[in-house]
Amino acid sequence: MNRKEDRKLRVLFVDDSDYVLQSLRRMLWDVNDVCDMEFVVDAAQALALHCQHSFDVIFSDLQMPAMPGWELLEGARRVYPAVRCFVLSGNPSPADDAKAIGLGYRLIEKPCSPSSLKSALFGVKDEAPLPVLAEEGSCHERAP
Amino acid sequence: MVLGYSLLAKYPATVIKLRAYVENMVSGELPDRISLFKNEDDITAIESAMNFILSRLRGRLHTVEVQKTQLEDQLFQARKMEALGTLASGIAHEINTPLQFISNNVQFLKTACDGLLRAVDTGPSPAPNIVGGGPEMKLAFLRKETATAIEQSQEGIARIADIVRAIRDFADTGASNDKAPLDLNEAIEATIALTKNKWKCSAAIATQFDPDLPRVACVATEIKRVLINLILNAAEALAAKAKSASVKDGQIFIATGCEGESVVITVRDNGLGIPQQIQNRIFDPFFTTKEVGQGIGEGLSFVYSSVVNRHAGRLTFESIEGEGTTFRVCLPLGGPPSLRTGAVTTSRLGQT
Repeated sequence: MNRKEDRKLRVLFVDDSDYVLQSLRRMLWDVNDVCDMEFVVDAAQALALHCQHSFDVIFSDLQMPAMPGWELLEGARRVYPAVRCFVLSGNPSPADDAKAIGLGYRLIEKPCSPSSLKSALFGVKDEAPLPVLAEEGSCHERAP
Repeated sequence: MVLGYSLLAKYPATVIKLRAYVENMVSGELPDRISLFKNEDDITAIESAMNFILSRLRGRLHTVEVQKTQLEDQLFQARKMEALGTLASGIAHEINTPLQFISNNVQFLKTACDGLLRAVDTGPSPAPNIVGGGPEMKLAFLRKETATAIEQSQEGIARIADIVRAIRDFADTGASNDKAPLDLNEAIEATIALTKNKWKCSAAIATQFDPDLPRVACVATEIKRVLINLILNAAEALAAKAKSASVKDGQIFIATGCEGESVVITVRDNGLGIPQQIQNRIFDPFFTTKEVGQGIGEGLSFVYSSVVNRHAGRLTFESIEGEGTTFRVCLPLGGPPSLRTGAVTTSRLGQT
């Protein structure tokens, strides 16, 4: 049995618009059987949650009031370096593009179609087997 | 000899007259035409040559005047568009966010609708409260979420429409210099929405509007640009504070009210304040505290010339270093007598 089917993909969505998050949760209702998804409006809270759950994938908005997306993802990588990162931006600059490539993130331009979001999600799932994680690992254990 | 004498007698007077004309012309006064003595061929030749030059000059001057007016109009439009350009990336973000959730919601509604139609076609699902076909969607979830999805999408569409309207009003080139009664409360709301992306990371905006505020006769596009500049200025002050003091307690307070025969707009921030030594320079054109490439320092200078010169209003500010800055814009209710000249008269007729 393929290892990647052992457990559900853990996905975190972070956006400063609650409406965007609600719409994502709604739109992605049919992938609930393969993904455990969390939707968080506050970046600091998202990072805390990532400490508890070590998400496999994080989709983060770039422009957020309390903490820029870059900062959140940098923190998330420190907690769990294998996390796959997607940055979403309504108006990405060429510099953002370059930065995302440099860091190995994928940049998705908003508004993006529901199908491209889903294919990004499933792309990750098919890309490589998911590592087996200890349940509810703590921040300290995962810090490098 | 006789001829020589008569020339000597006539020429000095002619030359003196000619010299007077030339001197006037040098000092910038163009005579309509010059008139010397009539009977001498040479003099007549000079006279008509000079009149020819004069008429050519007049023609050129007229062309230059026309071109100058055209250039001034173009510059005014360019400045307005430049301000819009500064906002463009933020506006894109403001429109993209609702577009994103509307698009997600529509996708959800499509699958929900497909499921419902299948249920209608195939009859009631064997399991109760499940919408048939594909992955199972619980009826309670569908009921709740479809309603919210539609509601939030409608809200998003209204938000996009508001922003598009604000851009159109702002960029309106047709009525750039016409004064018309403007609802300032509405204009402020629209400006707050338009600039959201520029302040949301450093500040929260609170408003206190006078619900009975009378409309003020003004050039709407200009007053909106005044508002944009004041809000951006406050947001920048707060971003600077957040950066230097690592405090994120940025507040922008905007109020409207009536005082005597004026309408007053107050824009207050709790930023770092304007240093005492530059307070008398902030309205100077091109004065800026920003780094090179961050802006040309035209914002507050424009605010001043629009409010004071073109709307016969008053612009004042109070700033305490470390505590914040308050700008007050007073616009006369009667409106300026002439928006182009900016002349201020004391008597106003037909005031409400």
